[in-house]
Amino acid sequence: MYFAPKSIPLKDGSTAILRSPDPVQDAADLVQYLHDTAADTPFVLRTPDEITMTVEGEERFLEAVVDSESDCMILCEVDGCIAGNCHLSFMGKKKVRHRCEVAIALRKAYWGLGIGTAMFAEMIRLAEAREDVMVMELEFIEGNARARGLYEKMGFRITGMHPDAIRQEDGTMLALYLMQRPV
Amino acid sequence: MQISPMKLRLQDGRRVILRSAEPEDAAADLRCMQQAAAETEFLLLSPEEVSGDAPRHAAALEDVRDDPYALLLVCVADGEVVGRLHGFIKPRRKVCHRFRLGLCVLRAYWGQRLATAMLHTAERVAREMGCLQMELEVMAHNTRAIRLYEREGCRIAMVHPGAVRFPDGRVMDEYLMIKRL
Repeated sequence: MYFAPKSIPLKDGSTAILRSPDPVQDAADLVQYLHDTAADTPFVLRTPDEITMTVEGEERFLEAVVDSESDCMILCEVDGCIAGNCHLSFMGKKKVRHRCEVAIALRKAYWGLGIGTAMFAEMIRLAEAREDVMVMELEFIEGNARARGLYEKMGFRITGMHPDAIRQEDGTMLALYLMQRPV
Repeated sequence: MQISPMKLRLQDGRRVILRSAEPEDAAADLRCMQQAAAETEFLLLSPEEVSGDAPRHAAALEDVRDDPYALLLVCVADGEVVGRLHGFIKPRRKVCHRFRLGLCVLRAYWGQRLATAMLHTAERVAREMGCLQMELEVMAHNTRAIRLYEREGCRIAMVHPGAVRFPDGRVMDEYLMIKRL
């Protein structure tokens, strides 16, 4: 899905642009961005060395997302740099078409500027525009209190806990929490 | 991933082969999915959503066969697929301890322990992969399946509220069940 560009003012006085990815222009930056955000926090599903896609592969992936009827990715660009991104997936099968899944990430340097809130507002607007969507869902890894705070502020509530879903390097297990928000 | 074929004899004397799916099974596998989706409402797939494109499905079956992280078991009787189990892990360090699976058996073969045989085979594969748990999702009103999974050592670990919505508007919870290995 295409997302028409939008400027948003940030708390530090700078301006961010929310926009669709440009597969050719953004692929290399996005691979670097995925690597950096995986290194920023332990609260993502992949470790940095597992970010193994090629720029060409990422370009094809982005093309598929932009052309898709079911998926929307929004990049947040600040001063020409990818500060964050979010991804909204509408489910395809009829029995789960009332659900959509969201995911969001932000480079650490851009935390606390209001970007997460702005990206969520856009995803909520997109979900509300879909007649058959009744609930938005996301998951976060146990201990990610900062993300949980943002999600609760955006109207999400914890509705399930998947025990032992994440295995850390030292063998200890963390839960994945399911959050839902009515649309 | 491939397993060596096993011969099963049902209580009524019928013979069934439990083996890995091959690309040649594509048309029969699609028929099985379509029929299973039509027989109950317990699959996420609706019958009209099963693709009729056998060559494309054959390519998918080939991918699964050659994928070290995926398993597709079929129960074959008289050349027809009458039950299937799909399992996989995501090959990433934080989540590769979870073997995720889904299965179905055609109604004419219920009560013959085909699901149990497929689950046992999947568990052996999961253990060989080094997995620590098997996971599956089941609709909350599929009591027959829940009983079977509990008998096989799975326990309800999470309720996913309102995960399913049927065409008539009914909303149903889904259970996540986990078996520790």
